[in-house]
Amino acid sequence: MKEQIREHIGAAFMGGKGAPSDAQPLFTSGIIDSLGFIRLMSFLEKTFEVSIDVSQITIENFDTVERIARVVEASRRT
Amino acid sequence: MRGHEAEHDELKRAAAAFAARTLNDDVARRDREEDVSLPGWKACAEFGLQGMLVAPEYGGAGMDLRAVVATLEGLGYGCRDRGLVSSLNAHLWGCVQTLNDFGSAGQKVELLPGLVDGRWIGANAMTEPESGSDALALRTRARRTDDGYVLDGRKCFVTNAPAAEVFIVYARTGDGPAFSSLSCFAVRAGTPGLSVAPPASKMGLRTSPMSDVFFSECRVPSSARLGAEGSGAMMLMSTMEWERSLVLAVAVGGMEYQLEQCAEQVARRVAGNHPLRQRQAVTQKLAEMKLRLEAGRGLLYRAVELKRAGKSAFMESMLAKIALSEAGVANARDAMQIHGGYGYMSEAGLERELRDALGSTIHSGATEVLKDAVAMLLLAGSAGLAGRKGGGTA
Ligand SMILES: Cc1cc2nc3c(=O)[nH]c(=O)nc-3n(C[C@H](O)[C@H](O)[C@H](O)COP(=O)(O)OP(=O)(O)OC[C@H]3O[C@@H](n4cnc5c(N)ncnc54)[C@H](O)[C@@H]3O)c2cc1C
Repeated sequence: MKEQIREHIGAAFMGGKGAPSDAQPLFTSGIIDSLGFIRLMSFLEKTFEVSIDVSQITIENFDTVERIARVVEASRRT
Repeated sequence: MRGHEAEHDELKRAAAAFAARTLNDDVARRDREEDVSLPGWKACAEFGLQGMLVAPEYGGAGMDLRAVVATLEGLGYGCRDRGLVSSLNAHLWGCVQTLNDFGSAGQKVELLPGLVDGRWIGANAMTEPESGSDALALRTRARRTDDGYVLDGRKCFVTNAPAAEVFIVYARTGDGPAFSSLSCFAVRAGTPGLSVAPPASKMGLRTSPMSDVFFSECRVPSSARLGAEGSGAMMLMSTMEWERSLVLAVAVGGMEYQLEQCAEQVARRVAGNHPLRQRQAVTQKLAEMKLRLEAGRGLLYRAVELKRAGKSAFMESMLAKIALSEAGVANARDAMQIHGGYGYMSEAGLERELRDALGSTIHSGATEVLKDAVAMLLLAGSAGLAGRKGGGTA
């Protein structure tokens, strides 16, 4: 899953020039902005067939690939 | 959804009957004099409108979203006081729902019951003189102290501000990229350092009060922050998704009522020796009005179904907002034209409906801004523009 998220972020937000590491900040570094957030949410919902609870929506939960994957995992379980 | 159709029809009918019976007194005069109806506000609360999506433990009804939409459509069908509706929308989508989604149990216990039972009015203070469409460029600061924050800044066009008890305020808490540097606060009226300007006069929605709000060394405790520090922009986007999806559900009912009036007028009116119903230039307008109404309604339902399924509906909420706001303006104009000279007279109420409708293409994201965001999302989906950054809250 992490690999898919990494690939998507690399292609969609880093101009296809590489991909982020698991711990690289995405929102606090400005790699992903408001429009990017919409695209990321829609990617996660479609690719992993999850709905992400509004209580999970924090910068902290979404700032790295590692944490995004954790949110998706948790959403799958509920 | 189908199985609930009868139930939704009943909710819609009940809300329409309630509104027609209770909310329409003296609307023309109150519009002229910008007279806000507090009895109307309380009546709405008694009917349950302020707490539709709030859980029973906080005084609400915990209704299903589709039932909420049916109720709002009924309200629009029966209520001619669109200013009151505008205040209700600002309260619901800019304040109550934000608390509902992001408030802690303590914040909900403190704030929701009063906002639901009609004692209090909520407001959303996001826009600033230098940042409207590009909301994330806001400059109001919230500086951290040992036990809370100090707010400094100015907000404008805040619906309900002159009457509000609870202000949902977005402010900068960090110096990084805007999207991860905003935080959201619930600030009570009367907090030292918070001041509200006298109500501003406006073109339409005149029975809904609006004004600037100032924060000057306004100290709030940490417990006034909703959600996590730095997550305010994400919360704002969630709030805007609610607002754009649902703010014009009432307008759907309003357009339905307006169209019935127009059809009756066209069926009845004989201009000189010629019945209007034989004039295609007139009857075509009826069809166009219906088309806009139903297209907008379809987009509204699409956004609502996504939200009911727990999915994000950013794009769909923008499409619904664009379609219904533009439909509201176009239909109000057609309604006036169909009624001729009488339509232009204040007595008919149609000029007020046109004035009221015009604001909807500006608030909650102007049509142009939303179209721009929709286009950027489409373009970003095609490889060519990968990585392009968007402005605004969209
Ligand atoms: C009836 C009403 C109620 C409101 N209630 C509230 C409230 O309760 N709380 C609150 O905080 N605010 C409220 N507002 C303010 C509202 O959100 C802003 O007016 C709106 O976001 C537009 O911002 P602006 O007025 O600064 O216009 P600007 O941002 O200066 O834009 C002016 C025009 O330029 C165009 N434009 C701007 N940016 C773009 C772009 N990126 N792409 C294409 N075109 C663009 C649009 O046509 C826009 O109408 C309300 C406004 C109205 C009319």
